[in-house]
Amino acid sequence: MEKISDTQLYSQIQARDRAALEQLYDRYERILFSFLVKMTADRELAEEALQEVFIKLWKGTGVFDEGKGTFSSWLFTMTRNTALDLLRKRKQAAVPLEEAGELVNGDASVIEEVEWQEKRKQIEAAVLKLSAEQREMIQLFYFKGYTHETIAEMSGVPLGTVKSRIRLALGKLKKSLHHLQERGAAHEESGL
Amino acid sequence: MKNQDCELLVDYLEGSMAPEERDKFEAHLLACADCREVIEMTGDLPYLAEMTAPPAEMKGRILSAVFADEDETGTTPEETIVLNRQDGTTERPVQRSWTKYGLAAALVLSLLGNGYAFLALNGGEAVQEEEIRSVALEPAGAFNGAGEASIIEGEDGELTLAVETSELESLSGEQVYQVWLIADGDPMPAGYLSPAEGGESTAYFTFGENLDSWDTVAITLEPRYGNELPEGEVVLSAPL
Repeated sequence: MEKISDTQLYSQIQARDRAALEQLYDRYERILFSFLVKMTADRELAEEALQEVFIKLWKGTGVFDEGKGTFSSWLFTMTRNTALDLLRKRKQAAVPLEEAGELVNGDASVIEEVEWQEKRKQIEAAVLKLSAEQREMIQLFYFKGYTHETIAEMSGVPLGTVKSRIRLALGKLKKSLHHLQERGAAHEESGL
Repeated sequence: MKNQDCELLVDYLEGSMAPEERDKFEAHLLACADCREVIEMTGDLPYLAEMTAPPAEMKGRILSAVFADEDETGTTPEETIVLNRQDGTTERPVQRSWTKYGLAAALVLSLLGNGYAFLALNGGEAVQEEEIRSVALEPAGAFNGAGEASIIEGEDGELTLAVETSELESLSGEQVYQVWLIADGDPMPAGYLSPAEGGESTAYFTFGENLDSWDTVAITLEPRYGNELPEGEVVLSAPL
């Protein structure tokens, strides 16, 4: 049986199909929960955020539009924003700046799912092409939910500079990742 | 191709843009492949997270919460309003329940009677405003009275808190019911209610464009007008 697409599931959810919501939940539970735990460093808060995400999906708050990108990308952005809102409500970033940790964790042995592992390997490779400073920008900004204002305040770097560093880091990561993905696709085609 | 709008990418990813700004940036996204690709790429970043096994019962908890939400009314177990008061106490346990907000226009409009639409005078013309949230106020303890609070967004994005109450207990002397918006325990005065006969009263309070930081609306019974911090008891409240 052909796997139903995320977009199809999303349409069914809009038509109040509970089974579709459950299917989408099963599909994304692990990645969203892991992502939220990484962002919040708090399993209870991660669950709260995940619940909020699925309530939003069910209530139709925020509408996915195919013109703006893939469903998963939209869902991850919505998840991240939901976590940021919760963190901001509690007036805290997830962990103190000095404990923000390394973006690349070498312990890949726990990763079971092939797709996850492949993606992660590719993204890690792209991340490693960034400078240490750019890696830190992405870690603090994307995962830890620090605003560029907070990063500027805490690091003593001017606001505009922080903002352009984040943009440049994201831009470079995008290029490296595209490059790696193209190379991967070429390898697959040539059977290497 | 870089232009000024590309500079807003970071703000967009922060999720901190006002709705109009966000719409404008999303229009920019349709024309700017560069920004679009960066955003699309962020959809891969969650895979950098270490795989964390979700708790076994989490799915059941979350899905029942999601579907329970459909009933549009629900009750929380016991929660606590944190409210910094004049006398230095900071916590006030209140049994809360709430009406789910935001979806059904009929529910939203019920606050002010069927078919009522908010109207504001703008250069002599009536301008319709949008009600974005409505919550039922719950009485504390044995207090007699009921009410609803709603948030109305004006065309300029300004938010107004409207509180309508009925059957409020009558006041004596200089007493007044005072409305508060609360953010993490810190209250901001948000209007007064002086119930006429029958205990009905309505208060409006315009408080800017950002609702996110306010988590609770509460009504206290104050001994006089003009308190900057609550002195009296919370009589009605609801989470926002």
